[in-house]
Amino acid sequence: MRIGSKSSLVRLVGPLFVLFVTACAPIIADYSLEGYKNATSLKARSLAMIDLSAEGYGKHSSTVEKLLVDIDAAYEFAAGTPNNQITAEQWDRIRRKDHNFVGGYVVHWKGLNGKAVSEFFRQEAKTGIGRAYDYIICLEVNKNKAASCKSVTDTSG
Amino acid sequence: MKIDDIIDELRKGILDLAKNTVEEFVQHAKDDFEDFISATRDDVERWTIALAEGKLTADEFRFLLKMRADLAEMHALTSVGIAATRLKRFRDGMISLIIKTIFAALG
Repeated sequence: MRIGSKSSLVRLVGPLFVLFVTACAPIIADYSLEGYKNATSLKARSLAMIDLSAEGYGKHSSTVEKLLVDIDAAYEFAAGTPNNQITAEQWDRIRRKDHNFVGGYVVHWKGLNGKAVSEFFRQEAKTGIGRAYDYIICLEVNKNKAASCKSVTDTSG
Repeated sequence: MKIDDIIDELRKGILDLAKNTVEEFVQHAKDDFEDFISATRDDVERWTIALAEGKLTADEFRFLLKMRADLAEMHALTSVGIAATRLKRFRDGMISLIIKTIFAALG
């Protein structure tokens, strides 16, 4: 069968039509530079916040409140981006008080009633919260190009 | 060019594309999972010792364990998301391959 005959065109155009319709179906959001910047800058600020918890919460409450508002804004940005549910769920875990990342850490710090967070715990929490952000960063990078999480972050797990 | 030749060419191209996409994804997912397991083992061991030595309170120990469970969820979400990005890349590659092959056949 040669190209140009009616039946061969139907065999070619049919699948092509299906393919183009399928191509319009969303799978996952495109890479977002703003989403990437949100994750990298809020990671740095969150880790800096943990350093501040070497002192009582009251002294740094305004800095912490501003950080929490900015994390909420990053969540809203992710949630408002079409086909970006997975990234939005990750941001939700970073901010929520019942998850032990930034939201949960602030609850713990506040609960110490003006005392500092112990050094060992601070360092361990810092590593864990850093890794949580690295997962968001890794997914965002993969929206742009295929990469292993190890190659796009500094931490080892 | 016969249409059967085009379809054969497409079949080979798509199989290669699928093979490369899957192999790369599986390798990355395997590496990332092994890193996660290794980090979890090291962390829990270190925390247990710290608890015994009084460097961590019971509350802090529980917090860190829960954080590790939350990290497992983050890991799973990232894996699902990365699988979706690979699927999207495969679809885009397949469309590009089909268009290129057909236009080449049409001359």
